[in-house]
Amino acid sequence: MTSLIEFENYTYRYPDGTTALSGFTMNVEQRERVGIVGPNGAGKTTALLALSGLIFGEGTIRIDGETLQKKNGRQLRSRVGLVFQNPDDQLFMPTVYEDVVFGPKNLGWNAAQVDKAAKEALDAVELPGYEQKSSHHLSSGEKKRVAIATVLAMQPDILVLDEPTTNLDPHARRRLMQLLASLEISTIIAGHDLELILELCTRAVIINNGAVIKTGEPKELFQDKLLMEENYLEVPYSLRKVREDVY
Amino acid sequence: MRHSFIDKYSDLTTPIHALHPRVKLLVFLALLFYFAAVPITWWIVGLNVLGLTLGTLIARLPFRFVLKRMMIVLPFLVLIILFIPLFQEQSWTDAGITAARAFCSILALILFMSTIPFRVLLDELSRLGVPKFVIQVFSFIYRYFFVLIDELERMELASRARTPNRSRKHYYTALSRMLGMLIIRSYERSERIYQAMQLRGYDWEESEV
Repeated sequence: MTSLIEFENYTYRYPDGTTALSGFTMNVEQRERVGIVGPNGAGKTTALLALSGLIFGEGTIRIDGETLQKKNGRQLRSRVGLVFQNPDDQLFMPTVYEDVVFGPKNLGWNAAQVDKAAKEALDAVELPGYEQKSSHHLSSGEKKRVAIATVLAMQPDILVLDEPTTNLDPHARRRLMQLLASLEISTIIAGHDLELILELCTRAVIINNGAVIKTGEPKELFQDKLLMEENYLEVPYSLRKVREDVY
Repeated sequence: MRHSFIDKYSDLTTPIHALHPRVKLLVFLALLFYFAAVPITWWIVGLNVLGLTLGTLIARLPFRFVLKRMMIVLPFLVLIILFIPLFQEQSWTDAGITAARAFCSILALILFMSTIPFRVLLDELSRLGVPKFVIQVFSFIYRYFFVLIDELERMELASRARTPNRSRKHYYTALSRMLGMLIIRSYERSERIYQAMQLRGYDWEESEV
Protein backbone atom coordinates (compact mmCIF):
# COMPACT_ATOMS: atom_id res chain seq x y z
CA MET A 1 0.00 0.00 0.00
CA THR A 2 1.32 3.43 -0.86
CA SER A 3 1.67 6.07 1.80
CA LEU A 4 -0.72 9.01 1.70
CA ILE A 5 2.12 11.51 1.76
CA GLU A 6 5.72 10.87 0.78
CA PHE A 7 8.60 13.34 0.81
CA GLU A 8 11.61 11.86 -0.95
CA ASN A 9 14.97 13.57 -0.75
CA TYR A 10 13.28 16.95 -1.06
CA THR A 11 15.41 20.09 -1.13
CA TYR A 12 14.23 23.67 -1.18
CA ARG A 13 16.27 26.86 -1.32
CA TYR A 14 14.75 30.29 -0.86
CA PRO A 15 15.55 32.86 -3.55
CA ASP A 16 18.08 34.50 -1.20
CA GLY A 17 20.08 31.24 -1.09
CA THR A 18 18.99 30.01 2.35
CA THR A 19 18.49 26.26 2.30
CA ALA A 20 15.24 25.56 4.12
CA LEU A 21 14.97 21.84 3.37
CA SER A 22 17.79 19.54 2.36
CA GLY A 23 17.24 15.87 1.59
CA PHE A 24 13.98 15.93 3.52
CA THR A 25 12.41 12.47 3.61
CA MET A 26 9.32 11.44 5.53
CA ASN A 27 5.93 9.85 4.98
CA VAL A 28 2.43 9.89 6.42
CA GLU A 29 0.12 6.87 6.26
CA GLN A 30 -3.66 6.87 5.85
CA ARG A 31 -5.57 7.90 9.00
CA GLU A 32 -2.33 8.70 10.79
CA ARG A 33 -1.72 11.77 12.95
CA VAL A 34 1.87 12.89 12.70
CA GLY A 35 3.55 15.67 14.64
CA ILE A 36 6.45 17.58 13.10
CA VAL A 37 8.58 19.27 15.73
CA GLY A 38 11.78 21.22 15.53
CA PRO A 39 13.31 24.54 16.51
CA ASN A 40 12.46 27.85 14.84
CA GLY A 41 13.74 27.91 11.28
CA ALA A 42 14.06 24.13 11.09
CA GLY A 43 11.95 24.01 7.93
CA LYS A 44 8.54 23.05 9.30
CA THR A 45 6.54 25.73 7.53
CA THR A 46 8.53 25.32 4.31
CA ALA A 47 7.73 21.60 4.29
CA LEU A 48 4.03 22.38 4.70
CA LEU A 49 4.06 24.97 1.91
CA ALA A 50 5.86 22.52 -0.39
CA LEU A 51 3.32 19.82 0.42
CA SER A 52 0.54 22.25 -0.51
CA GLY A 53 2.11 22.88 -3.90
CA LEU A 54 2.71 26.55 -3.16
CA ILE A 55 6.46 26.29 -3.62
CA PHE A 56 8.47 23.86 -5.72
CA GLY A 57 11.97 22.55 -5.02
CA GLU A 58 14.08 19.56 -6.02
CA GLY A 59 13.13 16.02 -5.13
CA THR A 60 9.78 14.31 -5.01
CA ILE A 61 6.58 14.76 -3.08
CA ARG A 62 3.85 12.19 -3.68
CA ILE A 63 0.26 12.57 -2.56
CA ASP A 64 -1.55 9.24 -2.60
CA GLY A 65 0.99 7.94 -5.11
CA GLU A 66 0.71 10.93 -7.46
CA THR A 67 3.83 13.06 -7.88
CA LEU A 68 3.22 16.72 -7.12
CA GLN A 69 4.23 18.88 -10.07
CA LYS A 70 3.52 22.36 -11.26
CA LYS A 71 1.04 21.13 -13.83
CA ASN A 72 -1.08 19.11 -11.40
CA GLY A 73 -0.40 21.43 -8.46
CA ARG A 74 -3.79 23.10 -8.58
CA GLN A 75 -5.66 19.84 -8.60
CA LEU A 76 -3.56 18.07 -5.94
CA ARG A 77 -3.42 21.18 -3.79
CA SER A 78 -7.12 20.97 -3.01
CA ARG A 79 -6.54 17.56 -1.42
CA VAL A 80 -4.19 19.05 1.16
CA GLY A 81 -6.01 21.17 3.72
CA LEU A 82 -3.42 23.58 5.09
CA VAL A 83 -4.46 25.65 8.11
CA PHE A 84 -2.23 28.72 8.45
CA GLN A 85 -0.68 29.82 11.69
CA ASN A 86 -2.50 33.15 11.58
CA PRO A 87 -6.23 32.76 10.87
CA ASP A 88 -6.45 36.40 9.75
CA ASP A 89 -4.48 35.39 6.66
CA GLN A 90 -6.88 32.58 5.94
CA LEU A 91 -10.23 34.23 6.57
CA PHE A 92 -10.43 36.85 3.87
CA MET A 93 -14.13 37.04 3.13
CA PRO A 94 -16.65 39.40 4.77
CA THR A 95 -18.62 36.64 6.53
CA VAL A 96 -17.86 33.21 7.96
CA TYR A 97 -20.26 31.53 5.53
CA GLU A 98 -18.67 33.11 2.46
CA ASP A 99 -15.27 32.02 3.72
CA VAL A 100 -16.38 28.43 4.26
CA VAL A 101 -18.02 28.14 0.82
CA PHE A 102 -15.10 29.81 -0.98
CA GLY A 103 -13.21 26.54 -1.52
CA PRO A 104 -16.18 24.31 -2.45
CA LYS A 105 -17.43 26.94 -4.94
CA ASN A 106 -14.01 27.04 -6.60
CA LEU A 107 -14.05 23.26 -6.85
CA GLY A 108 -17.11 23.70 -9.06
CA TRP A 109 -19.62 21.97 -6.80
CA ASN A 110 -23.30 22.77 -7.25
CA ALA A 111 -25.18 25.05 -4.85
CA ALA A 112 -26.71 22.21 -2.83
CA GLN A 113 -23.36 20.43 -2.40
CA VAL A 114 -21.66 23.69 -1.44
CA ASP A 115 -24.29 24.45 1.17
CA LYS A 116 -24.18 20.93 2.58
CA ALA A 117 -20.37 20.97 2.79
CA ALA A 118 -20.44 24.34 4.58
CA LYS A 119 -23.03 23.17 7.07
CA GLU A 120 -21.16 19.96 7.82
CA ALA A 121 -17.85 21.80 8.21
CA LEU A 122 -19.31 24.35 10.64
CA ASP A 123 -21.01 21.54 12.57
CA ALA A 124 -17.71 19.66 12.76
CA VAL A 125 -15.95 22.64 14.36
CA GLU A 126 -18.98 23.24 16.62
CA LEU A 127 -19.80 26.65 15.23
CA PRO A 128 -23.27 26.26 13.71
CA GLY A 129 -25.12 29.59 13.59
CA TYR A 130 -21.93 31.54 12.87
CA GLU A 131 -22.65 31.82 9.14
CA GLN A 132 -23.40 35.52 8.99
CA LYS A 133 -20.78 36.67 11.51
CA SER A 134 -17.83 38.70 10.37
CA SER A 135 -14.51 36.93 10.95
CA HIS A 136 -13.02 40.05 12.44
CA HIS A 137 -15.45 39.92 15.37
CA LEU A 138 -14.50 36.40 16.43
CA SER A 139 -12.15 35.37 19.22
CA SER A 140 -8.82 33.75 18.35
CA GLY A 141 -10.17 30.30 19.19
CA GLU A 142 -13.24 30.80 17.02
CA LYS A 143 -11.16 32.16 14.16
CA LYS A 144 -8.96 29.10 14.33
CA ARG A 145 -11.96 26.80 14.21
CA VAL A 146 -13.50 28.70 11.29
CA ALA A 147 -10.15 28.42 9.47
CA ILE A 148 -10.29 24.66 10.01
CA ALA A 149 -13.90 24.63 8.74
CA THR A 150 -12.90 26.45 5.53
CA VAL A 151 -10.44 23.65 4.88
CA LEU A 152 -12.69 20.76 5.98
CA ALA A 153 -15.44 22.00 3.66
CA MET A 154 -13.22 21.02 0.73
CA GLN A 155 -13.07 17.44 2.06
CA PRO A 156 -9.29 17.12 1.81
CA ASP A 157 -7.40 13.84 2.17
CA ILE A 158 -5.20 15.32 4.84
CA LEU A 159 -5.43 18.15 7.33
CA VAL A 160 -2.20 20.09 7.84
CA LEU A 161 -1.88 22.49 10.76
CA ASP A 162 0.94 24.98 11.26
CA GLU A 163 1.35 25.87 14.94
CA PRO A 164 -2.35 25.36 15.67
CA THR A 165 -2.33 26.46 19.30
CA THR A 166 -0.55 29.82 18.88
CA ASN A 167 -2.51 32.61 20.62
CA LEU A 168 -5.07 30.28 22.15
CA ASP A 169 -5.99 30.36 25.83
CA PRO A 170 -5.92 27.00 27.65
CA HIS A 171 -9.65 26.47 27.22
CA ALA A 172 -9.62 27.24 23.49
CA ARG A 173 -6.55 25.04 23.13
CA ARG A 174 -8.30 22.16 24.89
CA ARG A 175 -11.38 22.54 22.64
CA LEU A 176 -9.19 22.56 19.56
CA MET A 177 -7.47 19.38 20.75
CA GLN A 178 -10.83 17.69 21.31
CA LEU A 179 -11.90 18.80 17.85
CA LEU A 180 -8.75 17.42 16.22
CA ALA A 181 -9.11 14.16 18.13
CA SER A 182 -12.71 13.82 16.91
CA LEU A 183 -11.89 14.26 13.21
CA GLU A 184 -11.31 11.03 11.38
CA ILE A 185 -8.81 12.34 8.90
CA SER A 186 -5.05 12.02 8.36
CA THR A 187 -3.40 14.96 10.05
CA ILE A 188 -0.02 16.65 10.20
CA ILE A 189 0.55 18.98 13.13
CA ALA A 190 3.66 21.13 13.05
CA GLY A 191 4.76 23.22 15.99
CA HIS A 192 6.27 23.49 19.43
CA ASP A 193 3.27 22.40 21.45
CA LEU A 194 4.83 19.09 22.43
CA GLU A 195 2.12 18.24 24.95
CA LEU A 196 -0.47 18.50 22.18
CA ILE A 197 1.54 16.25 19.88
CA LEU A 198 2.12 13.83 22.72
CA GLU A 199 -1.62 13.57 23.29
CA LEU A 200 -2.88 13.51 19.72
CA CYS A 201 -0.21 12.02 17.51
CA THR A 202 0.77 8.43 16.97
CA ARG A 203 4.09 9.41 15.47
CA ALA A 204 6.44 12.35 15.79
CA VAL A 205 9.14 13.57 13.44
CA ILE A 206 11.96 15.70 14.82
CA ILE A 207 13.48 17.94 12.20
CA ASN A 208 16.37 20.36 12.30
CA ASN A 209 18.31 22.26 9.64
CA GLY A 210 15.87 21.16 6.97
CA ALA A 211 16.27 17.42 7.49
CA VAL A 212 14.60 14.69 9.52
CA ILE A 213 16.66 13.87 12.61
CA LYS A 214 14.56 11.08 14.05
CA THR A 215 11.07 9.71 13.79
CA GLY A 216 9.20 7.48 16.21
CA GLU A 217 6.57 7.21 18.87
CA PRO A 218 6.15 10.68 20.46
CA LYS A 219 6.57 9.54 24.06
CA GLU A 220 9.71 7.64 23.26
CA LEU A 221 11.30 10.51 21.32
CA PHE A 222 10.32 13.28 23.71
CA GLN A 223 11.73 11.40 26.72
CA ASP A 224 15.20 11.43 25.20
CA LYS A 225 16.66 14.43 26.97
CA LEU A 226 19.85 14.52 24.93
CA LEU A 227 18.03 14.26 21.59
CA MET A 228 15.63 17.00 22.62
CA GLU A 229 18.32 19.37 23.82
CA GLU A 230 20.47 18.84 20.76
CA ASN A 231 17.52 20.03 18.70
CA TYR A 232 16.68 23.04 20.86
CA LEU A 233 13.62 21.30 22.29
CA GLU A 234 12.92 20.14 25.81
CA VAL A 235 11.35 17.13 27.46
CA PRO A 236 7.66 17.98 28.02
CA TYR A 237 6.75 18.56 31.64
CA SER A 238 4.42 15.56 31.76
CA LEU A 239 7.27 13.24 30.78
CA ARG A 240 9.90 14.48 33.23
CA LYS A 241 10.89 11.91 35.78
CA VAL A 242 12.04 14.50 38.25
CA ARG A 243 9.78 17.55 38.31
CA GLU A 244 12.47 20.12 38.90
CA ASP A 245 11.33 23.68 39.52
CA VAL A 246 14.03 24.97 37.26
CA TYR A 247 14.65 22.87 34.20
CA MET B 1 -8.43 46.98 20.39
CA ARG B 2 -11.46 49.11 19.69
CA HIS B 3 -13.29 48.60 16.49
CA SER B 4 -16.03 50.49 14.82
CA PHE B 5 -17.46 49.26 11.60
CA ILE B 6 -18.84 51.44 8.88
CA ASP B 7 -21.95 49.31 8.81
CA LYS B 8 -22.39 48.55 12.48
CA TYR B 9 -25.94 49.96 12.56
CA SER B 10 -26.88 48.26 9.32
CA ASP B 11 -29.00 45.49 10.77
CA LEU B 12 -31.53 47.58 12.70
CA THR B 13 -35.17 47.29 11.68
CA THR B 14 -36.50 50.67 10.59
CA PRO B 15 -38.42 51.72 7.46
CA ILE B 16 -35.18 52.99 5.93
CA HIS B 17 -33.30 49.76 6.64
CA ALA B 18 -36.21 47.81 5.17
CA LEU B 19 -36.01 49.52 1.77
CA HIS B 20 -34.79 47.27 -1.00
CA PRO B 21 -31.00 47.73 -1.38
CA ARG B 22 -31.32 48.63 -5.04
CA VAL B 23 -33.95 51.28 -4.33
CA LYS B 24 -31.71 52.70 -1.64
CA LEU B 25 -28.69 52.71 -3.92
CA LEU B 26 -30.55 54.42 -6.76
CA VAL B 27 -32.14 57.00 -4.45
CA PHE B 28 -28.71 57.71 -3.00
CA LEU B 29 -27.13 58.21 -6.41
CA ALA B 30 -30.02 60.43 -7.49
CA LEU B 31 -29.60 62.50 -4.32
CA LEU B 32 -25.87 62.91 -4.97
CA PHE B 33 -26.61 64.14 -8.47
CA TYR B 34 -29.25 66.50 -7.13
CA PHE B 35 -26.97 67.94 -4.43
CA ALA B 36 -24.11 68.37 -6.85
CA ALA B 37 -25.80 69.70 -9.96
CA VAL B 38 -29.17 71.29 -9.37
CA PRO B 39 -29.03 75.06 -8.63
CA ILE B 40 -30.07 75.69 -5.03
CA THR B 41 -30.75 78.53 -2.63
CA TRP B 42 -30.23 78.67 1.13
CA TRP B 43 -33.92 77.84 1.64
CA ILE B 44 -33.60 74.61 -0.28
CA VAL B 45 -30.35 73.79 1.54
CA GLY B 46 -32.24 74.14 4.82
CA LEU B 47 -34.99 71.83 3.60
CA ASN B 48 -32.45 69.27 2.37
CA VAL B 49 -30.60 69.18 5.68
CA LEU B 50 -33.92 68.91 7.49
CA GLY B 51 -34.95 66.02 5.26
CA LEU B 52 -31.69 64.16 5.76
CA THR B 53 -31.76 64.75 9.51
CA LEU B 54 -35.27 63.32 9.55
CA GLY B 55 -33.90 60.34 7.62
CA THR B 56 -31.18 59.68 10.21
CA LEU B 57 -33.79 59.98 12.98
CA ILE B 58 -36.07 57.46 11.27
CA ALA B 59 -33.09 55.15 10.74
CA ARG B 60 -32.36 55.53 14.49
CA LEU B 61 -28.69 56.33 13.87
CA PRO B 62 -27.14 57.75 17.05
CA PHE B 63 -26.37 61.46 16.78
CA ARG B 64 -22.82 60.98 18.07
CA PHE B 65 -22.14 58.27 15.50
CA VAL B 66 -23.23 60.53 12.62
CA LEU B 67 -21.23 63.43 14.06
CA LYS B 68 -18.10 61.28 14.37
CA ARG B 69 -18.42 60.17 10.78
CA MET B 70 -18.84 63.82 9.77
CA MET B 71 -15.68 64.82 11.59
CA ILE B 72 -13.64 62.57 9.32
CA VAL B 73 -14.68 64.50 6.21
CA LEU B 74 -15.29 67.98 7.56
CA PRO B 75 -11.64 69.14 7.68
CA PHE B 76 -11.33 68.56 3.95
CA LEU B 77 -14.55 70.43 3.38
CA VAL B 78 -13.33 73.42 5.38
CA LEU B 79 -10.11 73.53 3.36
CA ILE B 80 -11.99 73.54 0.09
CA ILE B 81 -14.30 76.34 1.23
CA LEU B 82 -11.33 78.45 2.28
CA PHE B 83 -9.54 77.88 -0.99
CA ILE B 84 -12.41 78.56 -3.40
CA PRO B 85 -12.74 82.36 -2.71
CA LEU B 86 -8.97 82.73 -2.42
CA PHE B 87 -7.98 81.18 -5.70
CA GLN B 88 -11.06 81.47 -7.85
CA GLU B 89 -13.10 84.53 -8.62
CA GLN B 90 -16.05 83.44 -6.58
CA SER B 91 -17.78 85.07 -3.65
CA TRP B 92 -18.00 83.68 -0.16
CA THR B 93 -21.68 82.95 -0.81
CA ASP B 94 -20.76 80.68 -3.72
CA ALA B 95 -18.27 78.93 -1.50
CA GLY B 96 -20.97 78.59 1.14
CA ILE B 97 -23.35 77.00 -1.35
CA THR B 98 -20.65 74.60 -2.51
CA ALA B 99 -20.00 73.70 1.11
CA ALA B 100 -23.70 73.14 1.67
CA ARG B 101 -23.86 70.84 -1.35
CA ALA B 102 -20.93 68.84 -0.05
CA PHE B 103 -22.37 68.76 3.47
CA CYS B 104 -25.68 67.37 2.19
CA SER B 105 -23.86 64.75 0.11
CA ILE B 106 -21.82 63.62 3.10
CA LEU B 107 -24.92 63.38 5.26
CA ALA B 108 -26.64 61.33 2.55
CA LEU B 109 -23.56 59.11 2.27
CA ILE B 110 -23.49 58.45 6.02
CA LEU B 111 -27.21 57.71 6.04
CA PHE B 112 -26.84 55.36 3.09
CA MET B 113 -23.71 53.50 4.22
CA SER B 114 -25.00 53.05 7.76
CA THR B 115 -28.28 51.49 6.75
CA ILE B 116 -27.02 48.89 4.30
CA PRO B 117 -24.78 45.94 5.24
CA PHE B 118 -21.55 46.24 3.31
CA ARG B 119 -21.88 42.73 1.92
CA VAL B 120 -25.37 43.51 0.56
CA LEU B 121 -24.03 46.70 -1.01
CA LEU B 122 -21.30 44.74 -2.80
CA ASP B 123 -23.83 42.18 -4.07
CA GLU B 124 -26.02 44.99 -5.35
CA LEU B 125 -23.13 46.81 -7.05
CA SER B 126 -22.07 43.56 -8.64
CA ARG B 127 -25.61 43.02 -9.99
CA LEU B 128 -25.57 46.54 -11.40
CA GLY B 129 -22.53 45.59 -13.45
CA VAL B 130 -19.63 47.02 -11.43
CA PRO B 131 -16.51 45.04 -12.50
CA LYS B 132 -15.56 41.99 -10.46
CA PHE B 133 -12.12 43.46 -9.80
CA VAL B 134 -13.54 46.55 -8.07
CA ILE B 135 -15.90 44.45 -5.95
CA GLN B 136 -13.00 42.24 -4.85
CA VAL B 137 -10.89 45.24 -3.89
CA PHE B 138 -13.73 46.69 -1.79
CA SER B 139 -14.35 43.35 -0.18
CA PHE B 140 -10.70 43.07 0.88
CA ILE B 141 -10.57 46.64 2.12
CA TYR B 142 -13.59 45.94 4.30
CA ARG B 143 -12.04 42.77 5.67
CA TYR B 144 -8.50 44.04 6.28
CA PHE B 145 -8.83 47.73 7.04
CA PHE B 146 -9.22 47.16 10.77
CA VAL B 147 -6.59 44.44 10.82
CA LEU B 148 -4.17 47.06 9.48
CA ILE B 149 -5.34 49.71 11.93
CA ASP B 150 -4.74 47.20 14.74
CA GLU B 151 -1.27 46.57 13.44
CA LEU B 152 -0.50 50.28 13.27
CA GLU B 153 -1.84 50.78 16.80
CA ARG B 154 0.37 47.99 18.09
CA MET B 155 3.42 49.51 16.43
CA GLU B 156 2.53 52.92 17.80
CA LEU B 157 2.16 51.47 21.29
CA ALA B 158 5.52 49.70 21.01
CA SER B 159 7.16 52.92 19.90
CA ARG B 160 5.53 54.92 22.70
CA ALA B 161 6.68 52.36 25.26
CA ARG B 162 10.28 52.96 24.23
CA THR B 163 10.17 56.75 24.00
CA PRO B 164 8.95 58.17 27.32
CA ASN B 165 9.44 61.85 26.46
CA ARG B 166 9.28 62.33 22.81
CA SER B 167 8.90 65.49 20.88
CA ARG B 168 6.31 66.14 18.22
CA LYS B 169 9.00 66.02 15.55
CA HIS B 170 10.20 62.69 16.82
CA TYR B 171 6.63 61.43 16.80
CA TYR B 172 6.08 62.29 13.15
CA THR B 173 9.40 60.76 12.07
CA ALA B 174 8.50 57.57 13.92
CA LEU B 175 5.01 57.60 12.43
CA SER B 176 6.28 57.89 8.88
CA ARG B 177 8.63 54.95 9.47
CA MET B 178 5.76 52.96 10.91
CA LEU B 179 3.63 53.64 7.87
CA GLY B 180 6.49 52.37 5.71
CA MET B 181 6.69 49.24 7.84
CA LEU B 182 2.94 48.83 7.55
CA ILE B 183 3.17 48.85 3.77
CA ILE B 184 5.83 46.14 3.81
CA ARG B 185 3.91 44.05 6.30
CA SER B 186 0.71 44.47 4.29
CA TYR B 187 2.53 43.36 1.19
CA GLU B 188 3.74 40.23 2.93
CA ARG B 189 0.31 39.61 4.36
CA SER B 190 -1.25 39.95 0.92
CA GLU B 191 1.08 37.22 -0.33
CA ARG B 192 -0.04 34.90 2.45
CA ILE B 193 -3.68 35.69 1.74
CA TYR B 194 -3.16 34.97 -1.92
CA GLN B 195 -1.59 31.63 -0.99
CA ALA B 196 -4.61 30.88 1.19
CA MET B 197 -6.87 31.69 -1.76
CA GLN B 198 -4.87 29.51 -4.12
CA LEU B 199 -5.08 26.64 -1.64
CA ARG B 200 -8.82 26.85 -1.84
CA GLY B 201 -8.84 26.57 -5.58
CA TYR B 202 -8.86 30.26 -6.43
CA ASP B 203 -7.96 31.23 -9.92
CA TRP B 204 -8.12 34.86 -10.93
CA GLU B 205 -9.53 34.15 -14.39
CA GLU B 206 -12.27 31.76 -13.36
CA SER B 207 -13.24 32.29 -9.77
CA GLU B 208 -15.81 34.63 -8.29
CA VAL B 209 -15.29 36.27 -4.95
